Amino acid sequence: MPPASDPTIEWIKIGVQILGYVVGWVLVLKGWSIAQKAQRASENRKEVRAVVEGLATLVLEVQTAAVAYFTEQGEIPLKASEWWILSSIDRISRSFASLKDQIGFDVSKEITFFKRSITLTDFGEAGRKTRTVSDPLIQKIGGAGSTLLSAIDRELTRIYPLSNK
Amino acid sequence: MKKIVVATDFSRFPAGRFLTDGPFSGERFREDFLVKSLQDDGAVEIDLDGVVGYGSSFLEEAFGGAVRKLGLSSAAINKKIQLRSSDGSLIDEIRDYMNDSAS
Repeated sequence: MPPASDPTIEWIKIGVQILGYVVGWVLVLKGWSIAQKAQRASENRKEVRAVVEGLATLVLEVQTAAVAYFTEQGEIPLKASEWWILSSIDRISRSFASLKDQIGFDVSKEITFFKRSITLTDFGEAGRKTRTVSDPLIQKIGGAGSTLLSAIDRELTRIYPLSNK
Repeated sequence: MKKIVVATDFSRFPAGRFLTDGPFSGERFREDFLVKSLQDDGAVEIDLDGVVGYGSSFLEEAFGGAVRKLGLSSAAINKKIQLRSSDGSLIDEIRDYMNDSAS
């Protein structure tokens, strides 16, 4: 006849078993939660990158349109070109303002510099003169566009470091 | 305080610096709306939303020009001219023009 086991030891054994299950489930849930969080972060990153890349393309288009406007080498009528440029800059500005509020993506100074370089001098003014591609204003517009694109890259890299892309 | 909604009270298509540039220029907005409201009411609130876009020349002539014309100080600008926009960078840009023109 086997010796009767100590009830205290039996309870400890059961307790350890339960604890093992609990710890196991906690680890599974924690792992799942981390995976979900990483997936969400990855999706957000992809979404932001897609939006930012679209806006960067629009910056290039505005820059090209502005040069065509001032040199009068574009195919669209000047007045239509003016409104397209203004509304596109407004869209760029508002979209980046929203990104600044949401994730701290801040290129506001560079956008203002870009906008001023195009619309502060002669833009929409009756006395506007046709410029050549070597005109300082055209060069300023090119420089401001490059500065804005560099700032966009800088903010992308700052918020989403290269190793996490 | 008088409230001006640019898109409905003035135009959805403000453009140009001077009166010679078109009917909705910065100079016209300054003279017929901004300066008039400041002289009549002492202060003005301006809602900038709903417009297709603002050129910097329009903004500089309207807001910087009003500050120059009335000889406002930086402190007076903040008390007398309230700006509303969903685009914060637009407000910053206008404030730059007003502060650069302040006495």
